[in-house]
Amino acid sequence: MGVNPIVIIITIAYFVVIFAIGYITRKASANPMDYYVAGRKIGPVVNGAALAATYLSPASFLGLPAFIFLLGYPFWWAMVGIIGGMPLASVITAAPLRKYAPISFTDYYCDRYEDQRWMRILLGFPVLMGTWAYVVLSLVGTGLFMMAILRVPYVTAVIIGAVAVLFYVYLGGMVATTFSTAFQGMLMALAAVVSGIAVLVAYGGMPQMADAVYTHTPAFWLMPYNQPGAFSHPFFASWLGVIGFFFVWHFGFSTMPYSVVRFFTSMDVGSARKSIIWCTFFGSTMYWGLIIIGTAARNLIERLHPLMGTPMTMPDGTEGVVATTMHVLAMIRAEFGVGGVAVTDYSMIAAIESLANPWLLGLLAAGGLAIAMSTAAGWVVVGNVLLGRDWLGKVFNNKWAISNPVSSLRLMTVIILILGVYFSLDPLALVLDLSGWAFIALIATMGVPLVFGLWWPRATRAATYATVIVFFPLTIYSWLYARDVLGSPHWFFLSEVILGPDGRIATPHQFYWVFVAVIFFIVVSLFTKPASAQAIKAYCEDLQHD
Amino acid sequence: MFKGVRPYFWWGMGSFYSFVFLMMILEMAIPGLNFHFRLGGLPLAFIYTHVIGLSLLPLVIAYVLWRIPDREEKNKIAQAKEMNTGGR
Repeated sequence: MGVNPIVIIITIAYFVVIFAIGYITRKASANPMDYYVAGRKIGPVVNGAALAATYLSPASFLGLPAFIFLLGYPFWWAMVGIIGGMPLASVITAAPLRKYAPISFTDYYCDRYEDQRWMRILLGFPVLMGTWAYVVLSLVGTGLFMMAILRVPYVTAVIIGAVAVLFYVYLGGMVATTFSTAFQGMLMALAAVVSGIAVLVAYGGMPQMADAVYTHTPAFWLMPYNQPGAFSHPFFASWLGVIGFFFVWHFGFSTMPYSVVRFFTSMDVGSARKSIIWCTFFGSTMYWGLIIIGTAARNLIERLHPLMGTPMTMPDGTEGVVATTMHVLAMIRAEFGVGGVAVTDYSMIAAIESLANPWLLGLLAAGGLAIAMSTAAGWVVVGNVLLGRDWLGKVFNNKWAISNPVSSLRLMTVIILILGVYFSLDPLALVLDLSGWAFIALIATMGVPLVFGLWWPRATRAATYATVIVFFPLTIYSWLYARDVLGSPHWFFLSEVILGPDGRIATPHQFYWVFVAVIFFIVVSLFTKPASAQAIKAYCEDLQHD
Repeated sequence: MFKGVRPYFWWGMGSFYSFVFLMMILEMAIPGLNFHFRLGGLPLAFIYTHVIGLSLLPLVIAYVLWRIPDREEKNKIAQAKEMNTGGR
């Protein structure tokens, strides 16, 4: 299949806009506050769109429709959980943190728990792990979109994506990141919703699409317990799988570093709250389209994809023709396969390809690049502040980093992106899967002390240390054990101990650790020394009211 | 713990969780609720999950969680102004 010039023109136009934003905002480097937090001048619409684009990654754009394609209707509730978690932040973290107005994500912990050195070092590890996983994931997403839709060689595609992110983050810091990310947020929502509408038009409406999906795959619509012994996927054989997927990402928006830092850039507390309305709007609009695409994908590909009916070599070596969705995806993967990328991750692209509309494919390419690059940039600005300001400047008192804050951040931006490209060239499946673990690990280890520090005077430094030290290794161990020994990170890691050798309990991404960490943090806090009265007043009680 | 959180937050999030978990329970208890039950030919899931749960309810809650404190803040400023001008 060739590439339509319209697709190329739309993609080039996207890159022109992104480079232009980076160039126009380059003066932000003159002022460190502009470079760190965009001078705290960002209005609610721009900040809301930027929040949505940063928070929602290629794991959303490619991964969530693929999850629906694989797991069926019950996964819709996971997407409701992600969007429904956004308003939580309005009261819980956005307003108090904007009032506090820090520069770095770790500043709050250091002030609230009165430890400027070890707290930054300790909290840095989970943040760096998240930065690594998400920068790699996002660069792989950039490469996949450019390769599968534009037929650009994968290595070239990853390098182009990284150079574009480097260009605008390096030149304009948080100002460039915010404006380019806001543009990307609007674009990705537009791409998803237009694609969703195009799918509905191809079927003649929502009821017709739903009926076609039912005729093709009746089990798609099953919820647990609807039919004895039947389910849409083994993960959804019981209510625990539905609830588990609902909660995996639910608390992330309020607590993950790459979304929380965007509250620091708002004009004021009211603007931070209002930006969440816009973020919810852009996020839910995008998810509206993604649900339709994911639901229709299997049926759509088998009905309309140009590769259907073409000759192919079967896995057993015999010659045959492409007859199923998995055949189509396997052929795409054989042609454009990258390291550990799952075959189903191509389902979103293949579904839209089936509609054979170059404008739609062009929009999808731009939207896909937008969501991938905006998340990469969001994590790069978290990582460069952590390494360049917090560690180099505050922990190690490096004179060059203290007297040249912008240069220090720029150096770290270059290092993070070089490492990101290196790990993206032949990505391990592990790295791509780790994004799910990163959510649980960061919410459990950093989110709990953040939220309780803001809202509970009794929260202690010892509990923060203990929670990070205990749950960082515990989340990764249980997740890896489930993935490598039980076959999926979505099985409870002690399933075999409880139910015997073949027993499986669905606990997606070991989500329960978040709730266990909350109980653990409360108990340890109750038995350890609280912060000073001044710290509690300044960083807990005073931040609770406008 | 969480004493400073205003009641409108608990009402907002309580309504969201109540809606979500009630619908999940109903879907598990009533086979075919999401697909075979229809409104104007449209499977019900497209209304309560796809529109209300995914978009409408979170948007309304996000709006309320901005609007109430915003109005309180404006009232506070107006009262302070009134006091400064001696109620004239």
